[in-house]
Amino acid sequence: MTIRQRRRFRRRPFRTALILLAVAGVALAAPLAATAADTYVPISGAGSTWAFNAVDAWRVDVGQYGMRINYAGTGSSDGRRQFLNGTTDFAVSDIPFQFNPEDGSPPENPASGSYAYMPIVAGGTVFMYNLSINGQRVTNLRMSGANIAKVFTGALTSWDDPVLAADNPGLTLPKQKIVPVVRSDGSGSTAQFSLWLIAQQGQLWRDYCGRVGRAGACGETSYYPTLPGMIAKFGDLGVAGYVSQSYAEGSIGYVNYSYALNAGFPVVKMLNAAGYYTEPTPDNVAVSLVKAVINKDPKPELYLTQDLRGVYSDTDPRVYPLSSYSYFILPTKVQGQFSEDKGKTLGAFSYYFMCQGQQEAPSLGYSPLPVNLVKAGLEQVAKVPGVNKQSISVAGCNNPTFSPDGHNSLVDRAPFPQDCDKQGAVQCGTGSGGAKQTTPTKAPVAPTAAAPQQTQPQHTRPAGGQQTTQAGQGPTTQRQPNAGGNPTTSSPAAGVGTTARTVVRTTPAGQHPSGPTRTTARGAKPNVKITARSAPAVAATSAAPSCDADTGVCSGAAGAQTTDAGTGSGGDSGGVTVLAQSVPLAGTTGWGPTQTLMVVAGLCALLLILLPPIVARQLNRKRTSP
Amino acid sequence: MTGHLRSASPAGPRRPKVGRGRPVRILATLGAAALVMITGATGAGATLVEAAGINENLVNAAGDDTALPDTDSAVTVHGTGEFKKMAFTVNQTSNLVNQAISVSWTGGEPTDNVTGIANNYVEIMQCWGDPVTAADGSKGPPPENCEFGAQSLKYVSGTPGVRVASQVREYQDRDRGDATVDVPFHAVDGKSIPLMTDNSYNLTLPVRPWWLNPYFDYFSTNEIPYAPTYLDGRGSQLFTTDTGLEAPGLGCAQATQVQANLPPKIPKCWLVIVPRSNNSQEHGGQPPFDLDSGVQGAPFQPRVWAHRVAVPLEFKPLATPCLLGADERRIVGSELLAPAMSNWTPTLCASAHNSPFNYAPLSDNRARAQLTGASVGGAGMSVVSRPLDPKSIPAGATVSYAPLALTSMVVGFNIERALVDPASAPGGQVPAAEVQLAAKRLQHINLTPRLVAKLLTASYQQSFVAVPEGANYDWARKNPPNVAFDPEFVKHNPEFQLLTGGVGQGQSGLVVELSSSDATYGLWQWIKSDPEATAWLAGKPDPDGMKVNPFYSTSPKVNPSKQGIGLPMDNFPKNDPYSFKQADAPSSFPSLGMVDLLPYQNSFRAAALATRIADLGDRTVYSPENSGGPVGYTPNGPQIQGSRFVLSVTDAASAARYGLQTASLRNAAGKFVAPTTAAVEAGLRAMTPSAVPGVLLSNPETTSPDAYPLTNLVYAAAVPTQLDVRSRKDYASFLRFAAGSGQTPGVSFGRLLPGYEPLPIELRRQALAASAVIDAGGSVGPTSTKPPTTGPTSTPVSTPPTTRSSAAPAFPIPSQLPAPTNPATVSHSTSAADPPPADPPTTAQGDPPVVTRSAPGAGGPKTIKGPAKATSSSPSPKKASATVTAGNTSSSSGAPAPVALRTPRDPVTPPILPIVLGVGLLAAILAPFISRKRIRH
Repeated sequence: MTIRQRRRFRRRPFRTALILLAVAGVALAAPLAATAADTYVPISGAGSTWAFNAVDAWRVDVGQYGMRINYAGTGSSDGRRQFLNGTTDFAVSDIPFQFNPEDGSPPENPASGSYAYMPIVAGGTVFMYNLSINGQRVTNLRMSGANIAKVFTGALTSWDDPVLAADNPGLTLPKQKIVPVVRSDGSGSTAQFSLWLIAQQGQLWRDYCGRVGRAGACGETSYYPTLPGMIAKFGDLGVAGYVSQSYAEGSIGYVNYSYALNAGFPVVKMLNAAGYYTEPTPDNVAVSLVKAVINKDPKPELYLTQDLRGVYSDTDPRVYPLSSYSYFILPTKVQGQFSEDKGKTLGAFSYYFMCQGQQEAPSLGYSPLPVNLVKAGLEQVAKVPGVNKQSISVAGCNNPTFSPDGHNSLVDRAPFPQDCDKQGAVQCGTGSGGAKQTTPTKAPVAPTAAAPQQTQPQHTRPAGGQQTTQAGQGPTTQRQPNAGGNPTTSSPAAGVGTTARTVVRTTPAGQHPSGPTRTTARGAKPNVKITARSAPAVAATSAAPSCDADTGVCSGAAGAQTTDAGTGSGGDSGGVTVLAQSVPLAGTTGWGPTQTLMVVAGLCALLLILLPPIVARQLNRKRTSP
Repeated sequence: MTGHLRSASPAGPRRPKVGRGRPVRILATLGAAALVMITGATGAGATLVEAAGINENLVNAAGDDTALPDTDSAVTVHGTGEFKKMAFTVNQTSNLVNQAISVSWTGGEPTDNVTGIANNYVEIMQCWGDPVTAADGSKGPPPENCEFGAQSLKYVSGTPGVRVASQVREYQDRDRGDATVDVPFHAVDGKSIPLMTDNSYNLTLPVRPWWLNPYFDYFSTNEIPYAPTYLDGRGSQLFTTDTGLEAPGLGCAQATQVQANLPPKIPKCWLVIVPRSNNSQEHGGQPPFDLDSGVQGAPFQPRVWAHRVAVPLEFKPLATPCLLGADERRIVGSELLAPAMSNWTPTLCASAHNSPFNYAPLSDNRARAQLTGASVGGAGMSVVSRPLDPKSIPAGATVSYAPLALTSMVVGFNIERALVDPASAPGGQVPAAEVQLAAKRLQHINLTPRLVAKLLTASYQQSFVAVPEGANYDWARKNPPNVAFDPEFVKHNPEFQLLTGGVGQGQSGLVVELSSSDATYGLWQWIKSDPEATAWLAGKPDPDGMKVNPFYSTSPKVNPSKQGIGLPMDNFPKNDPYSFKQADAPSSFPSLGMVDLLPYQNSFRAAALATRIADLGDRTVYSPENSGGPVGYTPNGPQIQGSRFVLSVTDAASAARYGLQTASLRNAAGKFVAPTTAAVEAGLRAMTPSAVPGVLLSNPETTSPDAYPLTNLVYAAAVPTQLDVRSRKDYASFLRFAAGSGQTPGVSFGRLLPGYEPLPIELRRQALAASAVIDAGGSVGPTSTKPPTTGPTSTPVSTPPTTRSSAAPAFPIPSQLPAPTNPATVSHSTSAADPPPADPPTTAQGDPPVVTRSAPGAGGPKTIKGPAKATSSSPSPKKASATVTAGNTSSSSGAPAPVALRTPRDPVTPPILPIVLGVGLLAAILAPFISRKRIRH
């Protein structure tokens, strides 16, 4: 046997294996490579101003991926109308199509099978107000649902009304006319607000309906009926623009939270069913929407639509009652000016904002979508003709609410309200919305030590969570301090930061029997994570419950590792499918198909580099040794 | 894209038609032979000197050259037949990206009715395809291949858009028995879109013909369906050239596979200009169908199409977009950086080491709060004009600042000449030469701080629908109707002795955004620093007796609220509580106020766009049949072409993006200064130190005569100790890019857009120093030469940049990245495809401006330069060519753009892939050596 023969003999199995591996690798890597070369055609949409600040940001964001998206914030009603006229590829609406409008506007009749809903972002509809006491802007106003309803139905006309004083024991509200500001155009915010009014303040709403001449058409409406003395403006920008003026002192209008932040104005802390006054921080909205019932009826006119009645009455202390989702209305057939090529763009754009784009939602004033809605939403996107279904898989989705154990990480770490935000004789002075400055309050006042905590919530994470989270994958971990970092950003586990964390309980314990009991030091407990609704339950059953004063997260004795949010909690029942509950996300921890694919792709890359020299060597050898 | 020029409403006076009975003769030589390359400047406003008169010195005092300057690839083409006197100049025809180009012409018959639909105008569109020879022998793309006809589908207030007679794709062929001919759109991918009727997806929609086109719609089309020729025979338009990304039906610069068995091909692209004449000529001498509607039918009808002018367009190859799905690194902050970031991000992601970047524009206040607030979902880097209050920074944290971009806040405007009644003109006469300029855009205006204060305080009468009755508004009755009538404005803009403003809010106020910003704070500082403006705001009438709207007065005695407004502010309040209601509106309709008459915009960008399309977004008309719903007002729509008058507060880059003119502002030295390169650089030199070492503050009060007062410098701010290693690397890499090749002017991805001025060397060094600090996690490495004040408790970048001649190499450079100033490392960039940071210029501040202006001091639209020229004149030609030419300017060699070198990354990949790749690479390099040795043995 010659040397050459021996070599060939020795090498053949190896080379065969290499070739096989290469072929398999190329076949597997093909779908991955395909995404690199994607080109997209421009698409256009119109609709919600409530969601505009998010959609507009995403629209700009995807420019670097070669997508050109147009979006006009002309109001939800207009967006739906344009979608029906085929003059826009997608619509953004805060409410579904109005097949049987209850306010006298013409019915909308999309053909069955021509559209699908996809929730795109969560947020709060807030009551931005302009009010001063002795020339000092009020930033900490609190209102009960009933009082909000009274204001917007003309039943409450002066800020010094005693019922408002009951909400605001720390303030001496001025004798000033209340000027409600509503939307003049067809608006999803108006529709959401009216739904809440119907569900929670039905009598006030029905009375009002009669007074404004809409008796018999008192259902959900996109067009707010007005009384003399009310102001109506076009779009969120119009309402926020009006309320922010100096002459608009005494006014109060409903807008998306982001507009109040942009305008630098405070928002009403609204009383929730737990007896706490809250604002729709990204955390609070996430907690609130745990109780949103997402319709699973496969009929397209119902599927994924939201029933928020559970949110209105949720007893988690962090809930903001007027939290809701905004929706994309997706075309599910080629229609109007929509084509399959556009479907591909729409799919890629959707994938972007359902995953990566949700990371900037909190910066903009919104709340990221939870895992289950992202999954359900992307399944809706798959119905769009022309969508590249492989590229909209939830694997690799950089949504910030995704956590290794499948919980909505926002819900997990959402801080509980301060004690002074509880209904009672005490009122926080801390600001709200876009006006964070403190308002002086009458005694008894909560200690100001609590104030900085409000703006710098501590993010507790489950034990081990930091190890298994994708490193550096976004805001949740960006904010994780280095070991030994400064106290304001260190986690409770570090055992520092116990200074100035004492919460003095100034209210009699009997006033909030259902609320979690607080301890005074936040460093006193180990890493604990408890879901929204299980927290009070644990607190109630534990003999010596320990709660974090900052996050409000309570634990049972010895810090039970209650990491299985909701699923193990006995209180989580009621017969409804709570789809907004966070669900485990397969494949994000441990070894999964993604990881296998990655390794295969890596091997392929290795082969790509190794094969040419090997082949060249072989050829060379042939030539040199004839 | 540039703002969509919507068709003007047909309303408005019509001038009597002048008979032009020349018979139509179709001449037939177009195409390449007709193209004449020119290098000299054209389209400059020729002064029309006529009989000397009292007002001759006023004629065109404000200038009428609003075109972009010519580039090396400028082309002038002459018309044919009845249009043979017309000469069309396109200022740039090669190295194009998605950008604005100028189309100007001379020798045209004036448009009959500039304000409405009329005769004699020009239609401009972009087309694709190999040239075909028409029946008449002329060459060019076939008419079916042109992007045109979508403007007519503009959706207006609940109804589909009015299909204006000549803006459509169909026509009635007089030569074939008036048969209606629909011209389908042939897309580059082989599909054909006919005019279609389809209501199957909406059962409530009545059956009607719709042209539902998946390739372009009224949002995305770049067509200009109606461009007037003014009385001087000239016309000028900005046209947005679209690549395949913007116009997939044309596929310019994009390889498209037309047939399955053919390789993808980049189509030829064209700019097609179709002059239209009066309708009897267009209809072969026969009377038109409707005498009142002017020119009718698509430009595609053979009789009209024969006179088209087709100019070939050469695009730069499209850069490969970023890979969707990679985790983005987030930055939030100033709107002033938003245009730059959107042009930088497609290049930034080309680096194999970077995450793609995501920029969310926020008010500076919110950006500052997010940096230290540890709020949910905050970004690791904020961009601000003013530093954080040191007191707001948590103990132990240190904020690193890096200068990012030098730009300015501007008053952008879109004003067209509306002539006064001759009786009102000085001497009772408007010079003929001025008449010739009617309806043309003004090139520049001058504004004093007091004039800007007047425009921001609803002090002109036409800020109101009608000045309210009663003593409370007595102050307004002697005020001018609008700024065009204000003697102070006329004094500084003398041509306004011959011009008038119409009626409306556009002339009475500025289009502004609702959000706050540091730049706005600077604007109010500038106003406050002016004694005239301060006195006027306090309630003292100006020399002509004009008074401030008391609701805006700084004096508690004047202000009805008993409290003066405090200056400077960081936003634009609309303080007057005025409200009105139209008499015929139903009782359920809301009353309207200042925010309805001149609504807020969402951003500087939106304000610039509103100015460009002259649509203020006001909705004040009650129209029962057209209202959007039970309580809706209808939009008032854009202003009428020919008498547009819109001013806005926006940023220089947005103004440039939308082709706005920018006002010259009077600085504290008493000079009117436009935001030119020199003036902005002087504004930079005038900046003052802030409480934070190393961070400069804008100085709107500067008495430097050359300085533009609203110059702004934005800084990136980060707290390195709050960041993990990966994000620190990413942010450091971003800063190196921004201080390096990101400062090279140009419109290609990765370049510094018009509206920004390149940072001087000191600031770029400072940015590099900050990047090193961030990279190192708060302090630089032990082997490096530390800036003197670097330390955990001080601001790391406080070193005066001038003290170091070559600061950057002293800092540790990550191994994967080329050293910013070391030419030897440039070759590394080919493997990593990092955007090679261009070397900081070797000369100091005051480098020759790379972006030339059409007229220094004119405040005209920012030059959008040809990329080739941008390279040759970049700050350091030699080194720039080594780094930049490698990929960014590759039109001649056809080499791929640098982003094309990008290694596609798996979005979810942990370091496995790089490691495997590294091992592979090592093996690949070693393999031949091993083999050779063995063979030798």
